Amino acid sequence: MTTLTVNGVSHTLAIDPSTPLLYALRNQLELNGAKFGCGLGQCGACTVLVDDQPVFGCLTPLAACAGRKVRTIESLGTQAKPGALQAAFIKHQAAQCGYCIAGMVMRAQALLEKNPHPTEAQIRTHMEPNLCRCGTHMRILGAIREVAQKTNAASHK
Amino acid sequence: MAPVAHSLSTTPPEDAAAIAHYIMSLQNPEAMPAAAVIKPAANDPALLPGRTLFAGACAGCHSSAAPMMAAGGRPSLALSSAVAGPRPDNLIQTILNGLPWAHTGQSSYMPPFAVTLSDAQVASIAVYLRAEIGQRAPWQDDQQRPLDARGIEQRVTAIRKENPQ
Repeated sequence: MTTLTVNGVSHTLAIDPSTPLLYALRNQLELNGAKFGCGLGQCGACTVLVDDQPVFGCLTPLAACAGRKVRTIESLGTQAKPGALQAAFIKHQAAQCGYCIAGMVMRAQALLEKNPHPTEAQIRTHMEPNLCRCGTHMRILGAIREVAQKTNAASHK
Repeated sequence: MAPVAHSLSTTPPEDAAAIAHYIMSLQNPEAMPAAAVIKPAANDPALLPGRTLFAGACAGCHSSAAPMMAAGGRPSLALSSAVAGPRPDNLIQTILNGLPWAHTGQSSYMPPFAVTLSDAQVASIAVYLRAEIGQRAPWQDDQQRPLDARGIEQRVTAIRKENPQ
């Protein structure tokens, strides 16, 4: 049994504690935003936040998550009311196939919560672990930059 | 170093043995003997937390069945000096920081686990690796006393503090 707090809701899961967090999120909790990409921590499609920091969900065992705060892209907004980063990604048309986008948004979210106005170099260094095979990195960076340049830090939430 | 290691990986075994023999002849004083090989008790409860975390965080690349092992022609972790060596520090550093991408040429990569795992969790993986994969007697502290999981956890905490933020 592992008790997991995801997007503010506590869940008790009776599955193998070595199960990667990503599988529990997608299969048991049906939060399908985060994606399985490589399973090796090399692409970032599975990125979610644990205690406000980005982790690769595919390499994070449930046993490592007990008592910690997990957040997924589903916590940022809805289709009708997207969060600030989600709205900027839509405006910049940053998704081509879209497979990497949930991970990209969550990694960017962690940066902007810690540092609301990062420099271009800070954005690029922070986002380096996440890959987009369609090649939309320039649009992704544009979307993050736009949110980072807004003066009201509270709007990141 | 990576290109050298890659090139040496294609060296005929007799040449590798000759080079190793020569390098060992240079050790002065004589190299520290490797830790005793042990056979851990099956289902030792002390190894369970590390085994569980290893299965979820590491086995995707490092289990003997992982495709990465075959594709890269990688040796078992049991042969890694970080696992078999006299101190746990290199293993702890590798788990915390991974191996960053080299931006040129062939590169080995491992993601960092500093955020994913707590100090106690890194320590339990180290204990498991040392005993069950490495089949080595426990690491020792400076007074030659065996380092238990708590002692390794203290090393993890100290090493985190030494690392640049």
